[in-house]
Amino acid sequence: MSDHNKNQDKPPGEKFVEVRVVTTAALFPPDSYERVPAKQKLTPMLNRAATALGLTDTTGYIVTVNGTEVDPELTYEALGLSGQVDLRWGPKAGAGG
Amino acid sequence: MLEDLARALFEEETEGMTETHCTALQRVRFSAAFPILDLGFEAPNMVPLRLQLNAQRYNAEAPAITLCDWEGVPFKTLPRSGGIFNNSLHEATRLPFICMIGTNEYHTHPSHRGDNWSQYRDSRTLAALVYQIQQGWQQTWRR
Repeated sequence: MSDHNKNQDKPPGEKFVEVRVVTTAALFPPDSYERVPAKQKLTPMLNRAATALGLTDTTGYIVTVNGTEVDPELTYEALGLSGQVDLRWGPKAGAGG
Repeated sequence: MLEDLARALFEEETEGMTETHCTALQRVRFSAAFPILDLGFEAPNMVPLRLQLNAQRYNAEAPAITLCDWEGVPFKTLPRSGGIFNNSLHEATRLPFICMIGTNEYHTHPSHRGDNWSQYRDSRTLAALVYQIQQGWQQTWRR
């Protein structure tokens, strides 16, 4: 598909963010960020990361951005995220004993 | 045989912990050569912490963790304690330790001997353990 056709698929003025998923064990994508629409929820990117990294059980995982826990069912835009975004995705800290 | 299995698991689980990955997580990777995974956590307004995870018998046994200063010298007293960081001396190592499911020091501590590592070993990874420790560090080691 030519660049001309690609551009025709995008709504005019659509905003994008560059996203990377940082899991406990690795990065997705491993060496770069992925450009996704700002109106997209976080969940699809997490699902793709889980598939690529072979994560079979993410029960109890939380997503944080710059140290703040965020709801992955919200969009990047709704969360006020722009530019390059690291989605840190992992289990919540356990209690001491 | 046990060491071969431990080495294979160690290499598999640390493969993705590249320098880029560690930088993204505000970590420093000092080394990842079996059996020691040597990582540091540092961030503005935080007291740095260096961890040395010994996976010599992983995962027949949980990894043993030594808490160190930035030069790699084991702490005899932790600069911060509370949460998962226990400043009392572990009877086996005579050092402060991390009291959290998944560490050898937890599972061999008299208070937790009934909480056997064998019930967790198949669902735990070195990466998840490091991540949990780092979260505990972020909550406790502020300047």
